[in-house]
Amino acid sequence: MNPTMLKNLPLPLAGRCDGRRAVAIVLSFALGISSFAARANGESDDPSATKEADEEFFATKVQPLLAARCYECHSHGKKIKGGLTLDSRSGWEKGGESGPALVPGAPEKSRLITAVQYADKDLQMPPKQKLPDDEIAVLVEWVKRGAPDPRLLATRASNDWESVYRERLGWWSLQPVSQPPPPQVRDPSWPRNPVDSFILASLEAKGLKPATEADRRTLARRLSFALTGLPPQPKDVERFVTRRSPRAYEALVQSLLDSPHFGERWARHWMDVVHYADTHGYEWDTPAKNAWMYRDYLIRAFNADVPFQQLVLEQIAGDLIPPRMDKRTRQNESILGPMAMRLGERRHGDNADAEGVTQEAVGNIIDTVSKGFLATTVACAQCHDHKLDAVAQRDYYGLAGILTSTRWGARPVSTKDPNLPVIQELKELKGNIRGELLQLWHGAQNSVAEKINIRPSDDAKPADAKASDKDKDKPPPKPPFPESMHAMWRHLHDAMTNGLSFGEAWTKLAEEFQQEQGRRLAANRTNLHLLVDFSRKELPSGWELDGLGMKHGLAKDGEMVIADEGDAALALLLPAGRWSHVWSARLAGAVRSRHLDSRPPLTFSVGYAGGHRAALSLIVDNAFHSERMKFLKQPQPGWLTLTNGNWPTLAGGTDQSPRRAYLELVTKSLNNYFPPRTKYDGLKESDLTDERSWFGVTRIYQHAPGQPPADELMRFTSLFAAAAPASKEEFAKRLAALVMAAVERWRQEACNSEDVRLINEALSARWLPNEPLSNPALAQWVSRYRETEKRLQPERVIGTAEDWHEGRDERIAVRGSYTDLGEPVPRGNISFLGGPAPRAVPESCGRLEFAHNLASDQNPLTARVFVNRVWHHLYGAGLVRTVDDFGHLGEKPSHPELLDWLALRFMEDGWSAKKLVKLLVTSATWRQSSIASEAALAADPENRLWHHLPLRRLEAEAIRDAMLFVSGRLDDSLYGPPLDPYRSAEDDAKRLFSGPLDGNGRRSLYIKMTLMEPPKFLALFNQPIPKLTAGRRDATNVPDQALALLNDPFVIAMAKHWGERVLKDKSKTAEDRVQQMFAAAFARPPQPDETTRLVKLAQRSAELRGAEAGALLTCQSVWQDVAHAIFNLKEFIYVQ
Amino acid sequence: MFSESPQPQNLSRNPLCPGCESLALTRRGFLKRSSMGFGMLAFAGLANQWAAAETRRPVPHFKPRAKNVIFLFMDGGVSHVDTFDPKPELANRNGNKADWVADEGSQALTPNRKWLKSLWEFKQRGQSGLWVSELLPNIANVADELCVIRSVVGETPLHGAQNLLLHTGRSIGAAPSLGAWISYGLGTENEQLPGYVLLNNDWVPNGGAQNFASAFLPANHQATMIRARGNPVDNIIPADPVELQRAKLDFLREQDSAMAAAHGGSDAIESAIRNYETAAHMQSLVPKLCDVSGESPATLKLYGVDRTNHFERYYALQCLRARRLVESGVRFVEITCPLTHSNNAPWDQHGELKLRHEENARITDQPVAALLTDLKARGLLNDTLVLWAGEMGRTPHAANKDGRDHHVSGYTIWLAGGGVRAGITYGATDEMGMSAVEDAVDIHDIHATILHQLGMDHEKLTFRFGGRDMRLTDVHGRVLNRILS
Repeated sequence: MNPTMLKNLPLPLAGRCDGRRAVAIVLSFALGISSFAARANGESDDPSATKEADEEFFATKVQPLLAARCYECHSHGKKIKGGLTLDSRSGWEKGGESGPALVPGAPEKSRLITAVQYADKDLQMPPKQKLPDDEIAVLVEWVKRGAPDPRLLATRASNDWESVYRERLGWWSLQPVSQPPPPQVRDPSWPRNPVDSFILASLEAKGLKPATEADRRTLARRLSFALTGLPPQPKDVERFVTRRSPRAYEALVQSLLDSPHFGERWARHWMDVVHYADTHGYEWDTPAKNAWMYRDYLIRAFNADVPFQQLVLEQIAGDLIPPRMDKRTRQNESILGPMAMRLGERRHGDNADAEGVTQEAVGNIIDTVSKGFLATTVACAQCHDHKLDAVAQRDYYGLAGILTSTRWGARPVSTKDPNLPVIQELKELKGNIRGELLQLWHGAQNSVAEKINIRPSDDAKPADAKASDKDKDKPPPKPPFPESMHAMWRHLHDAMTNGLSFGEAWTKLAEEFQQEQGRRLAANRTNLHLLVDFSRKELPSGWELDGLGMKHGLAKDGEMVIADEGDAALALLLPAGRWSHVWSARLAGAVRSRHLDSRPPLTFSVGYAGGHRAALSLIVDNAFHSERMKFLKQPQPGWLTLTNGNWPTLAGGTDQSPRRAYLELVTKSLNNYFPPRTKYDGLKESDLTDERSWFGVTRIYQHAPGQPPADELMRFTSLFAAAAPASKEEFAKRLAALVMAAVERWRQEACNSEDVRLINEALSARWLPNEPLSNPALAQWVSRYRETEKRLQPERVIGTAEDWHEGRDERIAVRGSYTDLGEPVPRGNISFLGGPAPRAVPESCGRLEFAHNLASDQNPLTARVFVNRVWHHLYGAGLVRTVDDFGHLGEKPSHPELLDWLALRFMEDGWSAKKLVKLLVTSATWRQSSIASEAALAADPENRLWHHLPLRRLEAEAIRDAMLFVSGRLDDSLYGPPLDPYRSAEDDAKRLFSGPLDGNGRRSLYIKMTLMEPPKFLALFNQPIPKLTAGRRDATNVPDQALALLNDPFVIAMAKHWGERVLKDKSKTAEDRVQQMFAAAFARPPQPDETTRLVKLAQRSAELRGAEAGALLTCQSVWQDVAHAIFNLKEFIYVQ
Repeated sequence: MFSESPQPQNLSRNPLCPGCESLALTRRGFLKRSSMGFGMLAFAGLANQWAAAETRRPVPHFKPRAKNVIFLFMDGGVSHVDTFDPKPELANRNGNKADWVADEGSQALTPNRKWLKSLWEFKQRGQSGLWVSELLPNIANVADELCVIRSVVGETPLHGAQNLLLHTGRSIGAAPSLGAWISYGLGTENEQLPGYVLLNNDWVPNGGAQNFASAFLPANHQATMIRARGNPVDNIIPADPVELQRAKLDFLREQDSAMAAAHGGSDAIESAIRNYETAAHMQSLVPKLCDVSGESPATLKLYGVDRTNHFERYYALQCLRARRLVESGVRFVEITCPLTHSNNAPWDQHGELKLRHEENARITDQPVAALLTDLKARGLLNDTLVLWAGEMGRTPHAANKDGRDHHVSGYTIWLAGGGVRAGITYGATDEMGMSAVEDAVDIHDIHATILHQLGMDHEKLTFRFGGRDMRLTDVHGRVLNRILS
């Protein structure tokens, strides 16, 4: 491996909450002076006198000093920084997070003294300015005297986390979900379902009445946006308005629930929670590995009404539960779930590159998962116990242990191999090609010798010919023993050029061969220890294969690889092993190791070949975004020597546990880290679209450093065993015979890896015919092979999570510093969900058990939090308005009983989101008008009691989608890779490309969310920056929005599109047309004065645009102006 | 959060940062009190302040020393040992094996490092005798205005992390930018203009648009970008001729007012309506503000707006606009450097140090010096704190003669104006320019000091988000009292 891949870059040890380095203090025992020594220094032996003097010293000198200089940050009355108090004896005895502050009698062992002396650059107190020397002397003297301190013990009960925790467990959101009956109401005619009873009862208690029911058109538009994020079709509105059936409303609700756009709408809501983005931001904005497949998974899941409980399990542990197969795609849906945890900002590299990379990502996941499912801010406890909620710092690290014990790799989605019939065809075609080749080669016996017997050209001098001046005087290094037929030929040729006869040269070579082979055989016997033999079906534990290429890639010596392009039929023959491209370089493959032990360092060599951006990675600390990756550029099998031990432990920190690292060889599509940043290791952007990528492995040997496997040259044994050839010509014939013997064994299917090397050399030197052009039959088989190979379906791959049973508990980071580590915390759950559950496999990461805790019916939060989110999306605000925080800093529920009733009902309904949505939108509460009575507004201006359904501005996506829809530009197809947003400037170094202005009419959730620069039009209308959970969006009102609606090229383009389209309608008058346009936009016909206004605008536009009289209906720009004006109406971006 | 939502908010529950008094007004209430209707509102600025104005009127925590900040962002990392931090010992040991390159904050991308002396000569300048190298001859001429801090320590020698740290106080993203905090904390001095303007040219630095974002602060505090080239502001050029747009605006007002009336004068609808008047006005106001043709030929020449190279001309133009903006009351103006060639960031010279540092100097040196001169001549420098900073310095050691790598364990930035002592240096790195050894300063300290000069206590300027009262300085920061005049 290239040394830079494993380079050790010690970088700052920055903490998240505490960026200042906190490096452990090394106690110096060497200078220890006992307190007795100090006391012996001319002091009285009278204990009482000493005590009195000490106490006086303390009272007059020490205490005032502590009070003046330290209490500001270290006392119960003010702050308790670092957990240290100095206003009582027990305070410094107990000490802070780093241990006792003083060692009585030993100033040099006392952290407090070290700190005030500024002896350690990372521990300097007071932080702002060093104390005067005389004050430091007082403190030193005090400690020398044994730190006399008569102050009383003042331990506060609140320092005891257990009692604090017990108290905090009483918080409303941590109580089990109760079973409240719907209350009695005075007006039983109003409620349509139990939701309404809860709402009405609280209104009645305040003497308020609900608003009247909204009219049908309003309801149709409201429903359509709420359930699908799109405006209704005018004809659907008319049908609904005219239907007399009492079931008309339910029928409309049901049709919208059944619409495929329901899934798009509700997937997008959830994408705010997991902060969906297609890239990882920071410096290079590299892609989140096929994140869009997770977006599509959400759409399918909401459309199929997969129980939310199941979605919880899948998003945390979809890799660890039985696959949920999608009927349509026939793929494993569950494995797509864990992408939920991988979205957002991720730094490149690993902890050995820059400390804290993994911790940052883990912090982000804990924040997302705890807010998303539990509406609890667990990430607050990264540096200390939560200030307000029942979450200890230990809880944070209990979750962190799960996540740092998880691998974040890429896996295939399919569980069924779709390619078996094609591979069968390829197998037959290969047989045919083999037959043709054998015929060709058989007939080529003589020409092989002739081709070998060509004088080597002189231009191929060895590379060391141009040695620098500095090396001029040194003797040239001994050339290596020739390891190919070609090199042997050259060797003899050069020897003869230097004056030896052929016979002399041969004898010398033969002698050298014997010595060399003997030496190498002995060395290999001594040095090599076979770790993995990939030619076996079963691999030793710790190594795993992935991908269909590898599944079908168990090769015996001599397996053919058909060239997928160019003149040659064969690319090469393979030595026995696992090869991803036995059938096609478009099939994916991966070989992964267990975590390698780094101590003692282990040197090993991998037999391999690979190309087309297949890569070798060393993944350290389960990095999310490794950059220890090297592309494989090895067309012929060779050896790759690696050492597992040269990544550092945490130098300077207290974590001396070894780095966790594993090895991965992988083709592009299965490579979690592909594509990396632009130009990485010579990457060309055209490499991204080339579907091919291949590699294979033969064996892995462990050996001592500097002792890699030596080529044992067995293929030449017979060459030198026979008598010396008489001449070069005869030698050429001898070599040709060597090749032909290998070919013969290949024909008999009895060749070995040495034969493979001979044939491969003969192929690449073009000694053996390998060009189908000369043979029509061969040409036909090869081209059929190539066509058939293209029918293979490449695997679908997504970045996901994996558990290799390599779990390790995380240690508490004192004050959040990555290098000041405390006790390890058992990984698993958080306390208020029952603490770590027993793991089925003790070495596992514990994610599965945590997922079950989260998804449990007994969990007081998960169901409550989700029903509150659904309520929030439908009603514009949650019953708990802080949808991501049910803790002390959040708001309390306006209707706690209703929240519980809904949560319970939701669970009883099988965690069905559709049933919940249906229940809520069919309530009388939801059907209220958006216009509140004066009385209600006066009594409850915030509408906490739901006396009307508030007017709401549409979300960014709905605004854009509505323009596409109304103008007729919408392409309402579902799914697929994201489209680049339209940009005013591109940056190809960061792959910030510009896409079509209107996104080809696709809905907004298919526009690429590049973290580095999210789509501007959507950001303008408060689509959140996808870095943190945003269950509740802002709805700002800024002039930039007005400017966009007036002038943005997208809006103008949509107006133009609509303006062109209406020219083809059958309107006879301007009135007819504006009425239709109005209805399309607002799901209602205009009032007469509204018609008049629009027609007036059309006429004014015609006048200003110089349209001819009578041409009003056919002037496109007039209708573009009308369309543009309609887009700009408030009614267009608000829903009533 | 302060975000405006269509419902009236329970203002008493809004988290208020200390120092901000609640007006406890609904938008409508505010409108009624201001009783000026659209006439006055037509002036509301680029990214209006209404969302903030309705709930709080920011007041400083104490008497401010400065009103505005101009941040000259030297993106990519200027070499400190080639500009403001002369190291004779580095020259003495030039070419010798660099024996302690493995400093935590010093990147060594390639092995076999050697000490590399400055490629430019240093001289003492002005009355103060401040050292400035010949790389920046014009800034050298105004050396007496500078307060050079030679001991800045960052977290990680990586662009993305350091850019975010410099801009937001966090090396991990999703925190508001310094400019957003200042806009949030003080509001605009002039209600007609945004609080935070970014003079940029569609260049997205490492760390992304997050560098300029409001994050969890209300969206109106994010940077409004003004380009040097093309449309100065997105969507600012009217799509319609004036009369046609007027006709549409009249139609909109009539139709929307009817809707607002039907909803009992909905706040949300009313303010959205009002935005149209503001927006219409901005279409003429912003181009006027950006148009420097009314400036005297001497001023244009002083900045270098007459240059022929477009990178140089654009940067000069942006510096001149910065003065116009602070003159008009914009609180925080940031200017980014242009990227002239394919590279990660403008000042990021792992190679071509001489060529590209000189090119960057040619672009920025004269306009930056002109800005200080011009501000001073107009009496604006007292009230304007100028920050000149990259996200990192560059290694004193190198693997070749023409490139330096990332370095955050001790590098240089400078301040000028705004009540900061002029013509001084503060802090020091060791003899080789590796680590800060005297008065080490971190970015939080710089942020705390900037807020202090603007009259804000960095520990009190908070916003409740995600269960915490968030601060620009997180749990760090101290005011650098010794650099204040």
